[in-house]
Amino acid sequence: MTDPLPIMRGTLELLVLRALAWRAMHGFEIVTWLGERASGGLELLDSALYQALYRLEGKRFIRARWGTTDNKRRARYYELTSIGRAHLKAQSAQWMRYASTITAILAPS
Amino acid sequence: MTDRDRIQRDTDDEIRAHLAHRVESLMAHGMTRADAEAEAMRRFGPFDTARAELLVAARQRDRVLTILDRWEALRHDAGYALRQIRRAPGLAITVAVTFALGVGANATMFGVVDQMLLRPPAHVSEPERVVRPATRQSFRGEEYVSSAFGYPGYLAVRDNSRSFTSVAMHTYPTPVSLSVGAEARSVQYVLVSGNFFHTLGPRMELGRPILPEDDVPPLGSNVVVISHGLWRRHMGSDPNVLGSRLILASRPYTIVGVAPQGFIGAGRRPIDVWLPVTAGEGLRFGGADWMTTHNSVWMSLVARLKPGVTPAAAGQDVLSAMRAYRERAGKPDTSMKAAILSSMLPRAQPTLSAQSKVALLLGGVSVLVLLIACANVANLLLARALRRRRELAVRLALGISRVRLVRQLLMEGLALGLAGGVAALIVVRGGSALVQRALLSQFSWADSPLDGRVLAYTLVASVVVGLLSAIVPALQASAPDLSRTLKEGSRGSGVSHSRTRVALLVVQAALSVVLLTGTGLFTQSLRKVTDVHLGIELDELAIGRIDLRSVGIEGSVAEDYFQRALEQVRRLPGIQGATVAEAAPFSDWQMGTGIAIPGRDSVPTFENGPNKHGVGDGYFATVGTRILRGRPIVQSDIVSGAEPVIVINEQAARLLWPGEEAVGKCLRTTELGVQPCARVVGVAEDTHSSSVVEKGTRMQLYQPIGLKTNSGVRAYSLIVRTDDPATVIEPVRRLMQTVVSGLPYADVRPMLRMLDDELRSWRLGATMFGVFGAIALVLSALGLYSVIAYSVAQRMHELGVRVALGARSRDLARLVLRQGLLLSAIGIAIGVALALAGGKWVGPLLYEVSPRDPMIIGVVVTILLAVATVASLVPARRATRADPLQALHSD
Repeated sequence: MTDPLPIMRGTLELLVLRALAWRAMHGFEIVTWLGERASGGLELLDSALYQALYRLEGKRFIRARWGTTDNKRRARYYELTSIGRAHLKAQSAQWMRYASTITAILAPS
Repeated sequence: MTDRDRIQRDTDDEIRAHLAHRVESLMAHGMTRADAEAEAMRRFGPFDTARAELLVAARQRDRVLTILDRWEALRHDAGYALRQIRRAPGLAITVAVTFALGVGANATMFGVVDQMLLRPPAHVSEPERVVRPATRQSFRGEEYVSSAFGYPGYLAVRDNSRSFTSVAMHTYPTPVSLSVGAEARSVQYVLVSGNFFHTLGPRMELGRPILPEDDVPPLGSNVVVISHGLWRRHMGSDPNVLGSRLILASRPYTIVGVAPQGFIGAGRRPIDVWLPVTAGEGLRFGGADWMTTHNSVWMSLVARLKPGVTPAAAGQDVLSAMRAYRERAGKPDTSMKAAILSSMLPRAQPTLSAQSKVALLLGGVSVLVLLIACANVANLLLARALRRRRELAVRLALGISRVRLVRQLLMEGLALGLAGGVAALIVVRGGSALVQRALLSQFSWADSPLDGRVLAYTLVASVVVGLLSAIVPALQASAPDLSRTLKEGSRGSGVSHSRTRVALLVVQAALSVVLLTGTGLFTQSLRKVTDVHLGIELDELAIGRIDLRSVGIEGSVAEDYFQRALEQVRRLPGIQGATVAEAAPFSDWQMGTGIAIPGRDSVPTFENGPNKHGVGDGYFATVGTRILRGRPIVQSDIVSGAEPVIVINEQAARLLWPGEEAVGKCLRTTELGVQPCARVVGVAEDTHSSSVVEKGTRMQLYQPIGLKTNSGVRAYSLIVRTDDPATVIEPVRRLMQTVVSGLPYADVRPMLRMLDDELRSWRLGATMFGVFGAIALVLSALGLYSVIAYSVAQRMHELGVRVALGARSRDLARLVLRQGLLLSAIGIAIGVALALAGGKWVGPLLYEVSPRDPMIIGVVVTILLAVATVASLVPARRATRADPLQALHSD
């Protein structure tokens, strides 16, 4: 297994939005979701995730409310707002285009 | 709990929940609790730092969200307000126009007062350190402040005081002819010392200021600094103007600099050119000994205080310098009591001119207009809020908070206020043109009345009046009296609401009385002033003056010039008469003289010693001064070798030969040595000398004009009589400038203009009070109409019942009319009381009118009652159409 990739700041926010597009989640659920998707390929401190969440909240891309987990624990749930959804759509399209372009250039011919 | 605590608790809760989840998950994968806890902490990051950073981020987030929330609510409320306004465009326009008038009137007066009294002159660096020295003197028991100095006095202050970094002098703005012939025009010049510009410190637009090396006695260099206005008007803002020549009083001066826009030195009056005082040959007051004479004072000083020196200390310094100088000159001055250093800030001047006082008064009055506008708008908004009461009650019932509702209503007021503010700018433009250019034209004004300060004032005033007018309706309409409102429907009586409206109405009527009384007082003053019998019919005369000496025309050549000009001007169309006079009453020059009567040791000196006038053939007929006895001066008196004759005024006849007939007596004038005895051939009626309000009547002596009896022709002027003096100004000026070639500018103006300065404050007061009073009257009428109309609409039901019970339509009309008149009467009574109380401030600004003139107050009361009747009649007519059937059905 290769070393985990450090994550870029803007990218993390995009990933969080993607996670929440699925359903409303609390912080640990998002961490778990990202971890599973990346199969351990991303290096991320848990506190950095919360930083990203607070930033997204301030931008009104997501909103939070307190709720209760399945095993009766209190947790802060995050959900995507309509402008968050629009932002995610625009950003992921742009990211894909960017990535495929770079990939096309870097790919050994 | 504060927001800070809440954020911290939430964040800590979230971290704790996260760690718990993590530990749980790790233990589910088989870790021991201790290992899982350690691993959870490791994955979270360095705890203390991470937590602190999260708290910062959380706080930042909350701050942003709060702002966004507020902004959104505000936007929502604004949107709501705008929708409401759009729903009632008629009301919005009425309100905006009302605000535009109120705020516009107010901002106009602010602009005037700001430039006249609040602002230091433009382009003066550190104006707080620049002072104008003046002395307090007492003369015959009366104290007065004089800012006039002579040149030796200036040098004494400059060289012997230690309080200033520099002391400069300047003369008063005076007209001079720029170039010659038909092109000649008049510009205002000022002579300054070489350090004048250095003392005030303006940054030049072009070139350099006048420097000490330009001003070297006895003869300085012929250089000139021109004003930005002259540069733009007459030189097309030519950037290569430096080095070109300017002909002033037929002497060439080289332009070395252009002053910055708006720079007018230390005063308030427009100036076109500045010259070194030592280069002002022919432009200086006084003769060849101007540098040394102790007898004339003809300049003002400006000085820059050294840092840390107080004006009081510097005043002592100036006083001792002046006293020492008078001692040295052998003329110790006991009348000088103190030296005062007044700041450059105009409001700090030792005495306020009458115009400034009137401007201040009008500034205060414009606040009244604004208050009336506010009361009116408040009334309109209240009426509307009452109409919307059901809607508002429903919204309150649906759970909108009262604060929010009030905010929405305030927002409506704010939007209306701002709309009015924009419209007010148009009013300011027009109003300033009226006040600044027409009524206070002697001052130098900024090019555009809409500068940053006026704009800011307008903005603030619009916001304030918008909120002020909306607050009462907002609070009342949102009062939690829901159930009753909902039950009553739209017909509720709303006693407290109507009480507020009535109070606002009464205030309006009262303020209108005050304003209209002011209008009456100033108009009456102006009428009294213009009705004063001056002994000269100024309104049908124009006077033309020309400085022939400046182009070297003197003596008999000058006499020939006037003879030819007179012949030509008499042939101009519309001229009913023309004459030449020297030092005539109401011309710029007045000449005093001593007198002697053969056979008497001395003639008693009278307080207003005699003035001597040189007059030509037809003078008395031309100016309209009646000859009471004997005959006027005629052509045969003027030819050389004629018998010396004199015409005196009645006052002279009365004082010199009491109880005797003056005609036939003999009198000598002594101003140029003893003259041959002149026979009194006529007695003319008394005339004023130079102003409407004069202390006592002067003795006046009229002698035939001519070289034999006079010092020169400098003070000659051409006087023409015509129905409309304004129309002959240009033809006469052209003629006077082209009788021969190379002539300077001829200053021709209606003689009534001589009274401009004196009449200005009354004109200003009468015009502006008139405008403000008219606005107030219209607004009050609107307010009364809206209140009565609203009340009738509310009472249609009751009125219908009355009809059903047998009331006739005449009774209903009377009922409504009585309500309107009663309200107005209360307002008027309060207004009269206010006007009487305010009289003591206005009194000194009036002319022979009591501030409590019963006639004026009576007229004002009548006007207001008439307006109130008209405003109530329309709703009264509507009341007569009350329908009994509808009234009974609706219950």
